[in-house]
Amino acid sequence: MAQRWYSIKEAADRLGVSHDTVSRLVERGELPAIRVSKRIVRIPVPAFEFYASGRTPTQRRVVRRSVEQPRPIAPEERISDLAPV
Amino acid sequence: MRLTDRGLDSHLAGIANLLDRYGVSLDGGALTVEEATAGARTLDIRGFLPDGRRPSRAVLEIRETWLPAGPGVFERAEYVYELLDGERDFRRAFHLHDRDWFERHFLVVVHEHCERPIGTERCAHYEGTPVRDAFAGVFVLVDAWTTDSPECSSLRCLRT
Repeated sequence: MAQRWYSIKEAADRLGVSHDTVSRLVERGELPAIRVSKRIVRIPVPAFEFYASGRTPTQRRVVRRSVEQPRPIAPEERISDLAPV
Repeated sequence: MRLTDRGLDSHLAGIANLLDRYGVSLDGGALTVEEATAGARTLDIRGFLPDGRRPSRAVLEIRETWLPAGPGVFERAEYVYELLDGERDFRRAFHLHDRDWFERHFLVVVHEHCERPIGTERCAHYEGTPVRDAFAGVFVLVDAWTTDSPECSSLRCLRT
């Protein structure tokens, strides 16, 4: 399986910047990361690649669609199918 | 949290923005809010985390139902935040739906799912903690995806 996350050090090495710089990017939310504990931060590889590419999020239109009934939110879990407890 | 219709549009756009920033490829172009006749609003957004395969087998889905909570405002009533990680044959999900049924049977309103391999589970519902909003939902799903060796054994089954 390919690597799924980078540590701050790995991200810093790949960007060619310091550990502190990456920590600041994470703190400011510019580089999305998962804080596992006070000391451990995982930077998802896709998030890192998106940031490193210099891309920006796509601006998307929001459209409205009228429906008779709202769709069941968890159709895979129909209550009628759940075993009685 | 209560949102107006315009706020719901911004909410949905904000989720898409966050997913983009996490490197999730989204399905389709425009984002859709479904408006039911009785007033409910449903948001559904689905994307793929790059797992090195084409097409990706890591599907992430955010679904929410918002109900009218006063004139022109809506409140989130149900949610499904779901990860299917095909590469590792792992499912992780955070749910709030059918509130009455769950309260009656388990005295809780939220539950979780965890399957590895997908289709196998120790119990139908696991105890869960409420997920604050869709942004936290994205966070918990990406967290599950980045976990090195996901497993379900630390979760507690819901019991009456």
